[in-house]
Amino acid sequence: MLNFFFYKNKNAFVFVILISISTFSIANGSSKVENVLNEGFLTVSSPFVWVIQSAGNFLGSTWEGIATHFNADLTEKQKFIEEVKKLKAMIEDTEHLKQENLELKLQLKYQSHIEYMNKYYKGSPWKTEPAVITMRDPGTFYKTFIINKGSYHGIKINMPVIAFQNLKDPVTNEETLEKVVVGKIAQVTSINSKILPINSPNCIIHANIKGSVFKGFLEGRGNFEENLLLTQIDKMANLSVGDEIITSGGQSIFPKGIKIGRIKEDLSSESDFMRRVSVEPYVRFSTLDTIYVIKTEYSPYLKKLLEETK
Amino acid sequence: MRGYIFRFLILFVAVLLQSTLLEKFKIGEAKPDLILIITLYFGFKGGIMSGQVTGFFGGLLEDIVRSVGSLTSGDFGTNMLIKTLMGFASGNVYRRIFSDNIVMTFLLVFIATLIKGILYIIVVQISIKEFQFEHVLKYVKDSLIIEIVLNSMLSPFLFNLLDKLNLSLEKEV
Repeated sequence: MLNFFFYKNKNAFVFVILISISTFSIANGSSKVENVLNEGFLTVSSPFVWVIQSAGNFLGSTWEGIATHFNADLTEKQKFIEEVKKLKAMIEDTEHLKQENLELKLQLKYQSHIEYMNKYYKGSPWKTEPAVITMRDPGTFYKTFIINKGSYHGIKINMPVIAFQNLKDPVTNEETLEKVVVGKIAQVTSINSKILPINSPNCIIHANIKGSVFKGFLEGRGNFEENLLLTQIDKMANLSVGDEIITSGGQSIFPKGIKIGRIKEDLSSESDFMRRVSVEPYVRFSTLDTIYVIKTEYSPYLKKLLEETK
Repeated sequence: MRGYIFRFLILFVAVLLQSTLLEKFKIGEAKPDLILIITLYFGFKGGIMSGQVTGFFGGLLEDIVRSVGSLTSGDFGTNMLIKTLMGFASGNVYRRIFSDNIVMTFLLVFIATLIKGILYIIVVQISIKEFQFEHVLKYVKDSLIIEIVLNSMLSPFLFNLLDKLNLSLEKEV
């Protein structure tokens, strides 16, 4: 009788079980289970991701080649006009390639000198590991990124992640290639790692207002909000919209002086004990392709403190 | 058994495509939700059990890619919940509405994507424990509307492809 009852209502029972598992996961997610599933998925999917990316690049370049060469029935005049357009496009492409070449040279220069530019902690230079973003959040907003380097390449959880992006100076309008904060390593498998981006509420960075002694804690604001929140700033701090925010190098794994963003809006009121501001990050996730993982770890004292507070 | 393995493989490929290749075809902040379309297909064609199980495992794969382990802010399970609900709902449409017509497919996926967007807003706002109207408006404006159009336009082709794959699998069996 009971068996018949279950069989007749099996859809409802399975629905209740699946919804319960999902709701339980949201409420009390087990990181161990997630890590195991994640590691398994990344290990299995890595070769397929490589194939898809290679195929995508091949198809993209093939299509471009076909599109530019498909001119079957043109008159002489039209052919001449097309030739001129092609030459113009080639000149533009050459200019673009020159710019790209310059940027890549600068990136290589930065990479080779980054050890000297970041000697802040006990005189030890930082090593960096370049990596390419192979997978992004399948959903709408950039929640996580997966890169093609893992523990095999010396990457560990909580290592800082930076990128090089062109930043325009608001005063001079000049564009320069600068290091910007992207986030930190959140999960590691042997050949892949996941980045927790700076706009995630779980990514908290100790930051400095450039040119001042005042510091605060920077955190992301979640799914729909691009801007960050800088809190715990002293009420005496003299800050204004447009001020640059950089990493403090103090209570953080990030080395000192890496650019984060600019103050967009002062959110504090007169009655607030501490000030808080909205910060527009420099990093543009949509154009991010190559990142650099700074191979550094928390000091033993800080590590112990973090373990004790868990 | 073969059917379930086939479905899991399709979901696996869909998640990989969504995380890699479809990034290049984004319009604004939106891209097609292949997992949702596949869930709706198996719900419309196979019924409640087919829809909800497909939705659950599709959502699970999405959550695995999204999650960041111990640093997760309670997001693991969001896609599982939403896709299971969508699969269950689409399964209820099975045999009630004629879903082989292109226009009907377009309309059903249109409505389903809209419902999924609303569910997503509700679940996220509950998990962050506050209602942020401007963020919701931004999501609707920059992402949801475009996603609804993309999903609806892609669904007839994807449904056709899945029909052919399903038929060839049934012939082998």
